[in-house]
Amino acid sequence: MMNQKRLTRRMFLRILALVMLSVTVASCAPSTVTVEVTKEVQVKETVIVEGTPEVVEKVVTATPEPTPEMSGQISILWWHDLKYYEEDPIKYSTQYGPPYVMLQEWKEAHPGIEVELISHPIDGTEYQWITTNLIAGTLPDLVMGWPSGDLEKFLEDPENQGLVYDMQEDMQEPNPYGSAPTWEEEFPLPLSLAQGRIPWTDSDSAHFIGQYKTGQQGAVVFYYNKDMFSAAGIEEAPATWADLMDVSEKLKEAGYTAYYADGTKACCSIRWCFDWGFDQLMDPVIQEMARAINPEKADCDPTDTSCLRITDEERSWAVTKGLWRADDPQYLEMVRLMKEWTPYWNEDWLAPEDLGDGGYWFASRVAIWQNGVWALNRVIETEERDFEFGTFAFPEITEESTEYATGAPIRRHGGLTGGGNGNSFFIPTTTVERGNLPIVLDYLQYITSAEAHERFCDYQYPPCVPIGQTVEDVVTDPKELDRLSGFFNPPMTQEHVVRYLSWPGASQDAFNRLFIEYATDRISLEEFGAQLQVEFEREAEKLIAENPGWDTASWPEP
Amino acid sequence: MPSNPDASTSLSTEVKNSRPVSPSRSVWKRIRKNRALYLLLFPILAGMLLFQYYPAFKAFYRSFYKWDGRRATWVGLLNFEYFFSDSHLMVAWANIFQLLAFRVIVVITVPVLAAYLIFRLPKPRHRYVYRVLFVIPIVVPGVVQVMLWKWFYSLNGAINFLLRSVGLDSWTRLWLGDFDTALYALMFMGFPWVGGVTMLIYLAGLMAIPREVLDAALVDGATGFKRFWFVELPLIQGQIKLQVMLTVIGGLQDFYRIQIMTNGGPGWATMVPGLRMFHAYQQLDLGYASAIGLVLFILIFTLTVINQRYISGSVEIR
Repeated sequence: MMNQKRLTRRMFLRILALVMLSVTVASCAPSTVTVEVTKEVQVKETVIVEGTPEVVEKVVTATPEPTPEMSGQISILWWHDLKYYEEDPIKYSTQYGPPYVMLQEWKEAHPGIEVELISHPIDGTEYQWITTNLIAGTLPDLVMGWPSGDLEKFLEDPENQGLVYDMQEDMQEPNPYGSAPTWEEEFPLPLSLAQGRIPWTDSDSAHFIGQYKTGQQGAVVFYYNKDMFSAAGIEEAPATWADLMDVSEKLKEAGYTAYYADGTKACCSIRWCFDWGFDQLMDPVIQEMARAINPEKADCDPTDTSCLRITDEERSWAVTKGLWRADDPQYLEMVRLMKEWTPYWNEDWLAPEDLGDGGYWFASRVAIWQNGVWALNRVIETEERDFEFGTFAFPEITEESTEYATGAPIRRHGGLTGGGNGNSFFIPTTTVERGNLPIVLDYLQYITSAEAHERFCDYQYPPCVPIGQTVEDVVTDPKELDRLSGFFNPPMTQEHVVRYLSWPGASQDAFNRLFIEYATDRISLEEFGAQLQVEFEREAEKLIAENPGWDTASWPEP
Repeated sequence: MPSNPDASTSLSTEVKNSRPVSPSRSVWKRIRKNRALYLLLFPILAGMLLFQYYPAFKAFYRSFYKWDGRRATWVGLLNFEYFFSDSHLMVAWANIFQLLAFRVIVVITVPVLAAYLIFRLPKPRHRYVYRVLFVIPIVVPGVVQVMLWKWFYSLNGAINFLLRSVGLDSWTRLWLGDFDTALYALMFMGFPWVGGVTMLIYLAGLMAIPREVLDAALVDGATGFKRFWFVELPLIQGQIKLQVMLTVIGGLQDFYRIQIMTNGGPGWATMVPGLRMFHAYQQLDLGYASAIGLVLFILIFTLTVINQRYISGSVEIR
């Protein structure tokens, strides 16, 4: 007779016990990775030697006096992965050199503290990552976030305000690493042209603090190949839109491609040009939009971006009231101008090859490439580049190019309030619950002391330019001036930071696609405007439905 | 009455045991009898309910809301109104049906042909070798294959290079950036479309055909194409039906390859509903994304039911 094995009760209970034990053991395993703190740390820093950035190695020792011994473990989230700096100090020196070095120094002074560095995705979902983890209470103890834009909007919601710790009271105490009577009085930080502390509700709260760069930080520029420019007979970088078209034509005649664009991506080679252009051409509309609903903004200085940054409610108001229309000739003019530029773009801009960030420019396949200050060190040091380069800012759109020119100042992404530069830190309230607040505050105080920011200037590149001076006062080498010109001319002060007329989300996606259809002559400019207006109205309708707290009945007429 | 006393006992037992039992009692009896197995299944079932059914139900529920993942505002059918009034989404549906039609045609032709050719090889060793050769590409990650095809289609990619090398410069173009060719370029991706797993399934079906059937067909004079068309192909209808169903289900949901290749562009030339749904998710318009998902679900479910109920999946051998 065959011996049939059956699952007996005893066997089942044994299996179950084994599974439960395995689960228990797995869940007890340590999930954190600690960073080893050694006595001396060899780091690579970028310093300026006779006008040229160089990477040098040095041993880091603790500068500040150790504070009364703290111990514990904290986690810090950076916009990108700070550990990148360890792997490639050249490429990431501009972004991560100063904070990385100073973090090592702070850890040296606090050997009882372990620091875990955490990064979040950099694929455009940072905001979603931060907000969902903030809601879930799973954010690290200290979070680098971009206080303007989506995150600020999220935290302006009364439902969400309790999720972030308010440092206002702490700021009334002295900073042990500083010299002012209170921490608050350390701000504005020296050589910072914007507030280092950026309150997001009113002057009585402090939810964001510090940035990890200082000085004028023009984040986004056009890098250009000087050798190509010279070969095409171009002596100066373009200062106006008409100059840009002229330069592009000369480059084309000389057999070069002027500009690298990527039509498959929502951001940024094309989109940011639109943002900058709209900010100039639509200046009167933006001024009116920004002041329409919030009476506190009525007295804003016209140059104060932080005050005049447009909110979704203001956009919705402007569309609903007909002030901002996609079929407005004033608005469509920038679309027309950009289309005029497309013949000078890389031939495959609708489906470019995947050569990596800047691949086309480094390979000398295009003369002009748009990118930010975070690329500067890589551009300088990389062996991929075998030509001389310079930078210039988005040009002014003048009456030479269009009757719709407004004379508004050039504005672009960047500056201390721009993402990537303008990141500040905030503390989730879960940090307080975990008992890590004193440690985190100590670190923040360390990196936001006046002395710390002097040291930021020592490490970072481009160099700091003191308030009241120009870059020509600080940098005298002509070659270096050419390289830095785009970041400082115009200076990235508040009045030169873009106000974001464009709508994020579905409308922006529709805009990009409609522009491609227009640029390839599949639709006319009028059809572009008509179809985009449908998207505008849908977006406004959606936002109004999502925000029942908006008092749309009392919205004023334009 | 049977003369065998044991038989009468067994009969009475049989009579006793044949007393009708209410269905619920019989179900509970079966569960109780196999309780250990049901207990073992319970964690899996609980996991499925929690991580698959519940999120799906929640998504369908939220399709009637404006939802950004945190706040949900009831808007009724507004999301569906957008859905049906979005002219660009209609383009996406047209695209997906074209892609689907092509994929279905491909999946019932090329892999069948490949499987049949392997099946007809006389030597088992040769059949083994070819089977392995067709299956090896499966181990290459899908994303890698997509990136490779993206390069093939680029301005300086393999396809244009080949065309230039044979003097067909005028035929070169930006395959993925041209409104007229982008969608067809996506269809052509994966050429020669043998599809290792699909081919294996068909081959398994062919190899499962009883030898006697094939011999009988031979006796009846069915050779070559006749045998294939009238005997072997009908006998793998089940496999074909399965592949068609899987292709439809997967094809309607598929978007990652299109996202990598063209991101739905140029313009909306290669947009598909799944990608539009993904974009809506990225834009935190989760209610609208859920509405698209619900429509996709209804469509897939309907097609699956039609396939199951009205398309024969088997042929009876007599």
